[in-house]
Amino acid sequence: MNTIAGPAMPFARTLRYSIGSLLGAIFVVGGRCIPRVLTGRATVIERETVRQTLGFLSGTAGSSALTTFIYGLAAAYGVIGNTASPEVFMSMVLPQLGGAFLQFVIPFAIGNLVVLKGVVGMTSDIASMRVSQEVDALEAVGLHPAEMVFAPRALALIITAPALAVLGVYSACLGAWLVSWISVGAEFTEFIAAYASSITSGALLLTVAKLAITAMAMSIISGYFGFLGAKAEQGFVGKITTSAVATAVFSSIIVNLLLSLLTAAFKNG
Amino acid sequence: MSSIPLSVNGISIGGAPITFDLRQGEILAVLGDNGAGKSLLLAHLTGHLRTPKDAVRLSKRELGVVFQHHGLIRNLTVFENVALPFLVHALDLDGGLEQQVRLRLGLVGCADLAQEKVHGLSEGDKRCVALARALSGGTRLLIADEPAASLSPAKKTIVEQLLVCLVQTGVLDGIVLATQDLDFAQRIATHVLLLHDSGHMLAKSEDAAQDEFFKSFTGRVA
Repeated sequence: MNTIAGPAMPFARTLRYSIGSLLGAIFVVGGRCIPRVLTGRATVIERETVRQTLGFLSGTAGSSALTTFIYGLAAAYGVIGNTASPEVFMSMVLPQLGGAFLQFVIPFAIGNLVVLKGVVGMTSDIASMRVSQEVDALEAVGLHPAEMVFAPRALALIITAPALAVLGVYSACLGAWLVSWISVGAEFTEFIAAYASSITSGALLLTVAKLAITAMAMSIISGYFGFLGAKAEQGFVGKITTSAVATAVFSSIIVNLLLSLLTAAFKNG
Repeated sequence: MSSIPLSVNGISIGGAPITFDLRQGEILAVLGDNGAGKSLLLAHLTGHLRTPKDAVRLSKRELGVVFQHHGLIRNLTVFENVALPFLVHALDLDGGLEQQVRLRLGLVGCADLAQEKVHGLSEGDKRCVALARALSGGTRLLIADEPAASLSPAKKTIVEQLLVCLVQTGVLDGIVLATQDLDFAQRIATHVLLLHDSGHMLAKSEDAAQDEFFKSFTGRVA
C-alpha cells in the first residue's frame, strides 16, 4: 500500500432521480408487471407491486366506502330538503344525482383519500428507507430504487384510485337511498334505476381516467419529495412528508381543475 | 505479483487525499473519530457517491456492501433479503437458491432466522443478516461499515473468523471495513487507514501499533 496526492472532489450521489426517471419507472414496471404475473414469472418487483396494490386497496376500501356513503347521505338530505315534492325529486332530481356524484363528488372524495393516505404513506416510506439505507442497499445489489420502491407504490395508487371510484359511486348511492327511503319512502329498485340512469359508461371512464391521472401526479410528487427531499437530519421524514402533502393538496386541485376544463372543452367542441 | 482488487486514487476526505491499492488477500480497516469520513470513503468505494474518473478502480464488479444502518429491506423476510443479490443477477446457482442462502445465514450464525421478518430482529442479528446478504451474489470484494457493531462477543468472534477465513481461502479478494473497534481491527486487518483532521495515515497493522500518531488515536478512544 502507498499514498500519493490527488484532486479534491465534491460529494454528489451517483444515481440521480428526476421526474422523468420516476415516470419511466412507472411505465417500465407497469408494462412488464401484468404479463409476468399472469405467466408466473414475477420477480421481486412484480411481487412487491401486487403486495402494495392489495395492501393499499384493503387499507382504503373501507374508508372510501364510508366517506362516499356519508357524502351520499348528506347530498341526498340537502337535495330532498330543497325539492318541492317527493315526486319532483324522484322524477327530475334523482336521475341526475348519479352522474353528478360521478363527475364532481367521487373524484374529490377519492382524490382526497389518495392524497392523504397515498402521499403520506409513500413519501414517509421512501424517506425513511433513505434514512435506514435500504435505498443504498438496493442500489448496491443492482436494483434501481425507483423501480423497487417507488414504482410498486405508484402503481398501487394508480390502480386503486379508479377502483375506489367505482366502489364510491355505489356506496354514495346507498347513502342517498337510505335518506330517500326515510324521507320520501323511495323503493330500492326504483331508486337504483333512476340513480344509475345518468351514470353512462363514458362518464365512468372519464372519472376513472381522471383519478388515475391524479394518482399518477400524486405519486410523482411523493417520489420526488421522498428521493430528493432535504438531507438526512433529525426529523426530516416528517418535514419531507408535510411538504409533500402540502404540494399534493394544491396539485390535486390544479390537476382536477385542468382535467375538468379539458373534459368540458372536449364535450363542447 | 498479487492482483489488485481495489485501487483508490486521490479521494479527498477532510481535505486530504487518500490513495491506496488493496491487494489480493488484504483486509483494510478504516479507523477514525466520529465524523472523520469513514462512511464517506466507503460510499465512494461502493459507487454511491460520485468520484472522478479512475479515482476508484475495481478489478471485478462483484461488490458486497454492509451498510452502517444495515439497509435490510423491511418488507422482505431474512431469506428474501439474502436471496436478493442472487435474484437480481439471475445467477445460476449450484445447489439451488435455498441452499446458497441457508449456507450464508449459517456462516453468520443466523440459520434459524430465515423466515423471520426483518423488523423483528435484534440489531446484532440485523447486522449479521446484512453481512450474509453482502456475501451473496458472487461477491469478490467486501466493503463493510461497522460490521461488528452491536454484536455479542460470540457473534463477533464468528464474524471475525469468517471474514479472515473468506480472505485467506480466496473466496473474497479483499475487505475494506470501517470500524471504531480497535481490537476488532487489530485482530483481523492486514492494514489500517487512520483518518484524521491533520492528515491520514496508512500502514500495515503491525507497524501501526508502533506508530506514535496511531497510538495517540488509540489512547484517545480507549
